[in-house]
Amino acid sequence: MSLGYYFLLPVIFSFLTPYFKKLGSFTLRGSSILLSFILFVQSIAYTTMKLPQISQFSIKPPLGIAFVLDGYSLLFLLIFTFSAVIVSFYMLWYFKVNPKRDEARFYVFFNMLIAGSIGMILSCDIFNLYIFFEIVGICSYTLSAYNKDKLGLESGIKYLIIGSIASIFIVFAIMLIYLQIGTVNLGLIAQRFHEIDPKISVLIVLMLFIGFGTKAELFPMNFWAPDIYQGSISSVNGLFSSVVAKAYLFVFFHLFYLFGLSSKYMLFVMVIGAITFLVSEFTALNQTNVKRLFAYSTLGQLGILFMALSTNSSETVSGALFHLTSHSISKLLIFLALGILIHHLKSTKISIFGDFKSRFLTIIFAIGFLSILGIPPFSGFVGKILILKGFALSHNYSAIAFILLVSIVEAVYFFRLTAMMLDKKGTKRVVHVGFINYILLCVLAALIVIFGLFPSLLIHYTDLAANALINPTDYLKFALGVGL
Amino acid sequence: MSLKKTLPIKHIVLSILSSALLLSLLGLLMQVKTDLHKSVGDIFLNLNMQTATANAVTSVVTFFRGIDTVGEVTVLFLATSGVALMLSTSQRTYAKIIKQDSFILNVGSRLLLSVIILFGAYIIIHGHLSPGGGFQGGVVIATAFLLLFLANPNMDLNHSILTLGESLSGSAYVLVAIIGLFKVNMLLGNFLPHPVSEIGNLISGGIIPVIYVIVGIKVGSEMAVIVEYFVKEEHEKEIENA
Repeated sequence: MSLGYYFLLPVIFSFLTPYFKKLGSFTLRGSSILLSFILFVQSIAYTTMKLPQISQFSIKPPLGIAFVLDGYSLLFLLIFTFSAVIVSFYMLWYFKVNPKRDEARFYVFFNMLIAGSIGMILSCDIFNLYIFFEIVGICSYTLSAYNKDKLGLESGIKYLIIGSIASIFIVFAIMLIYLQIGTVNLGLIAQRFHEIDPKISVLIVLMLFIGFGTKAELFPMNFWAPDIYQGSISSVNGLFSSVVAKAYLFVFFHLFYLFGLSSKYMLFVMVIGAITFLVSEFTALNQTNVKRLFAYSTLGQLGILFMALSTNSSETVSGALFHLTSHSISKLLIFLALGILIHHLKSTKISIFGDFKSRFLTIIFAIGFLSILGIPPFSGFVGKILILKGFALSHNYSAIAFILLVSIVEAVYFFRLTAMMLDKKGTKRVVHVGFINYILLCVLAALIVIFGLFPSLLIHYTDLAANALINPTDYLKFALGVGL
Repeated sequence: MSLKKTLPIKHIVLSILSSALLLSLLGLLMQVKTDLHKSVGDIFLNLNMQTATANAVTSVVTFFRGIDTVGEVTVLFLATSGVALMLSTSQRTYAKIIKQDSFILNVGSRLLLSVIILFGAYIIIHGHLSPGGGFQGGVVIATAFLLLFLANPNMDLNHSILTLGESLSGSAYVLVAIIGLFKVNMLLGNFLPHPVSEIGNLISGGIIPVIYVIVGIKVGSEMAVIVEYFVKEEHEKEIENA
């Protein structure tokens, strides 16, 4: 299957959604599940093929636009399509317990959110990337306002304004790049980025940093994220945390290494990442709303990832990618379980963790929390230890001390939540998980444990991804259309 | 109260910072040396003969950067769906406005309707020959529906036809892209014959006019839906206020 189908198939499914709706809700829900399944199975098939793969549009690159899949994008492709499968099944439960919602339009935005995110990781043309930012942007603005209550509309309009301003910075950077180099192909830009006048190149980097920093929720520009998590439904929170934020992070570091910025700006990104980690974890301590709490926790984890991914050493980057995968799975698990809890207890206060009685959910939450904290035998532990090992190999002991110290803060609120769940006092409400959710949460929890016990299953792919990220020679060859 | 006291200081600091940033930005931009003669835009202009369209902009929009246009059409579709999601409530029954229609206005707008639609169709069909194209023509067609709404606010558009136009044209665009893959081994490839000798004729340029017709139908129906939602929303408010 050509890579272009990753974008074209969801587009055709979205266009036909009104007719799926006419055929009944079974077809509508089934079509979304079918679509995410096709994409996921295809992504698994790519793991056995020789990488990079290319799919061209209209004319050959570097003139035309192409989708290129290398090791780095393969890892993200697997994460995104897997999240899509899980969330599309979860929505079966959601629409069963909330029957009056506008289903068809949700599936339009859901399918296109996934398609746009996949487009962002595949496209090798910087202006084409911008189109995908717009698609992902519009989908996330609308999905965050999907509740249509006061909080939902607030988050939607806030996201719309912030997202559009960030897009202006990105499009301005693209314009400057085109004025300087005369092309928008990533391969050609990567080859000739050092020829740009240093003053202008600083400006371009600054613009890109502000644009992507805002979208990828980096410290000075991430004040909006918790509000948006607070206003939107839990499955959308899961998507924002494990797909959208990760897609922007992907593009950030893809451009970072392609344009050869790692030597100049490594320390800068690392310090910003460290500040993000520190500030978010401390802010998370005194949150009273669970969604805000987990939003700040997501921001903190993104901070670690920014620290580790900017290091330009393959061990640390591979560890960071492992941590990223593990974080995506854990946050999806937590947000989906949280959705069930919020539906039954009708509250988003932090005290709901003390008010429910369900051994299954307690175990699921505990696995999620402990994995994010980095406690063996869960996958978060392996991710964190690999990052720390990478820092140790490059003799960056201050980073190790910093991560370990701030993780204590993280431990405080996660253990507080766990203690609340285990507390036997007070009136407890029984929570029914439902059959579909039972299986979904089991699958996610099993993945966390499996990757924790047998990390080599995943390390193979993260090593491949780290090498493709740091030495993009193969990618450049395909992006430039050499030998096609 | 404390918030009010801090606000002016914040504003002053922010305005100083932003003006400093703007000035330094302008200073930098003055020094930008552009050498656009080797840009990809010029290469596209030289390659324009390959596509056999008289309008070079069209060949860039629909062919050289075709997947961007698929994306743009999708963005428009998503925007329409977003408007519909936000402005529609479950089981809304549009209250009719009690206002006597003006007979002359009604008849006049109906007379103009066909002219406007014809003009829009002309712009769409001649997209590869003259300035204009699917996006512009589609919007012109949507203005015809806006005119109808202005003359008669109680009018309802036929949604099944609009949905049909939207879905079929969108799917047809994707299908054209996929057929290209099988015929010329390139997604969105120009698989129809496009001899250079035909340049300037109505039937020339291979798939390019086909794509523009599809885009025109898509844009026209999407914009008509948006116009309808906005007009009806406005009436809802008027009735609530009355």
